[in-house]
Amino acid sequence: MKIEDAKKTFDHLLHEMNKVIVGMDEVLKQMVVALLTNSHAILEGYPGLAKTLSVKTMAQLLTLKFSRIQNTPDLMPSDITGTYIIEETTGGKRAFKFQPGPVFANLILADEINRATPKTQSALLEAMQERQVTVGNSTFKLEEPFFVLATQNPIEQEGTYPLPEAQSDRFLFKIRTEYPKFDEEVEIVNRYAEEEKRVALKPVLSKDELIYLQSLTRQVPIAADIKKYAVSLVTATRQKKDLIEYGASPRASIGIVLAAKGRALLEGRKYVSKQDINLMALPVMRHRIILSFEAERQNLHEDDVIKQFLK
Amino acid sequence: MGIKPIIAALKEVRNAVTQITVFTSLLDTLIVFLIATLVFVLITLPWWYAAPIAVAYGGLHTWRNVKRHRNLAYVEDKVPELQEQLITVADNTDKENPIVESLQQDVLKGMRLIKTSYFLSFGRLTRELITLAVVSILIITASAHNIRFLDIRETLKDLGKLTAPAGQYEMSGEGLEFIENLSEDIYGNKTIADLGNEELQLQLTPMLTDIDIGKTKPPESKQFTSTLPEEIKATTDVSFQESIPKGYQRIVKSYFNEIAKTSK
Repeated sequence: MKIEDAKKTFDHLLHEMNKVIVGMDEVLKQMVVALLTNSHAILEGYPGLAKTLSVKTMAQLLTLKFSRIQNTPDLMPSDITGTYIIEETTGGKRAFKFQPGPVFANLILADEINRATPKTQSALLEAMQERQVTVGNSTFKLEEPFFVLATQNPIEQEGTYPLPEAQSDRFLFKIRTEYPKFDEEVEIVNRYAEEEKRVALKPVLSKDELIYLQSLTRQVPIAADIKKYAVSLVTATRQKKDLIEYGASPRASIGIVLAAKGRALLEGRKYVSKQDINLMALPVMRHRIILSFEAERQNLHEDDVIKQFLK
Repeated sequence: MGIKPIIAALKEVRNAVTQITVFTSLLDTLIVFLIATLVFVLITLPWWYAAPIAVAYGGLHTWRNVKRHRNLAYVEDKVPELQEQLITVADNTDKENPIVESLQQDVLKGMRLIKTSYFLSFGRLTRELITLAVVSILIITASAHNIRFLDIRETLKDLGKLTAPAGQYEMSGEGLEFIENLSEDIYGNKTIADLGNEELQLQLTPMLTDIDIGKTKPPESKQFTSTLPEEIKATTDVSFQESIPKGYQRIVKSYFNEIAKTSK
């Protein structure tokens, strides 16, 4: 597949997603970039902003094994990873057999991830990081591609377990879903409050094609100056002590460059531009920095502070 | 497609840009040289004083421009079609994959669009040539008509005199040192003492003299005879001695010394 063909595929993918989702172009693009970089993403937004619908739609457009984990406080790690069950063979013999959990899929929707207990979150996050699951004494490798899209809403704090910074660091992106514009909301009403029409979605991208595109993403060349610019953005977060208590880790530097490559490929470009870095800096870094009291006193958000570093 | 053509093309672009940069820098240097020459001519200093200034400026200016312009970002600025691509390709010549190769092909195509004129500002070039012509004409005019605004050496000398500390009446220090009982020395410079503050009016008018400056005569041969006395010795006339008391000799000496200073 050539770059030009890849661009056509992405355009088709986004076009199909737009049949279901209204006015979330940037969110959808960031989800595709996360997919291309073989990384995970967390979608944060108020309830009713089509976070779950976006992931479900994407799953329909990719011929990948999809599973959904609805996180609740009583969800156990084994509910995610799977467990050994006793199975009786035809000869009447009983043996333990591993029953894989929902984590054994290519695309996982971890809905409301902050509702699960830290123990359960850890089980999922370990699988995300290591791309393997250990149950008992056995370790099971997860199938590639392995992509977790988690959702959480930022307002409900009661009965939730916010992800610790170390764990949220494992998500490449924290994608913010915003309220739609007026016209977009009218369109949403038109689509979903009128006569129910089933939108027939056809898979656009196969598993092999996706793996190939993931390898192509890493091949996108980047100029040394742009790479240094990306790293300088991350290191700057560690130096601005007045507004940032804890800056982003080198994982953020890797993330920005990789995401910028994905973004370039998505746009059908054969090189990374500075604009790609600027676009990717926000979703990559916003969950990797901890603002200081001074920043909070000034009512600044992570994005406001990161934007100060962008050139 | 191998990686060689792109490396050769990048080298070619760099060389072309360097040549243009050196040319424009030399033009700038020539302008600086001519302006400096004009200034030195007008202030009565040797024109070749402009040479070290021009050499220093030219060296620094050319080095700085070449350094800045050899950077491919400069080429990208001039050729927007290659924006961000040229540097990316240059930084990734060691990589071989379908995307890099495809980008190299695109850049090679784009490089064919690069023209020398992109790096030459014709407006600036015209202005510089006009400046060169104008300054050259000014230099020729100033030299031909001997136009001088000031003589910098004389001005500096005068400034030196002005800035020198003015003499003050002091009754201490070197001025007070003298040898006692040599009363003929205490009047200081005698000629000044004789002339006093009177202004000397001298006028040399050819009409009033017998000497005709326009006429030249062959030198007359003269016979000189030795009139030297057999013995030369210095004596002091008793009548010249003044009986100035020893205590006042210091004050008198200082008085005449100050007169001598102020009358210079």
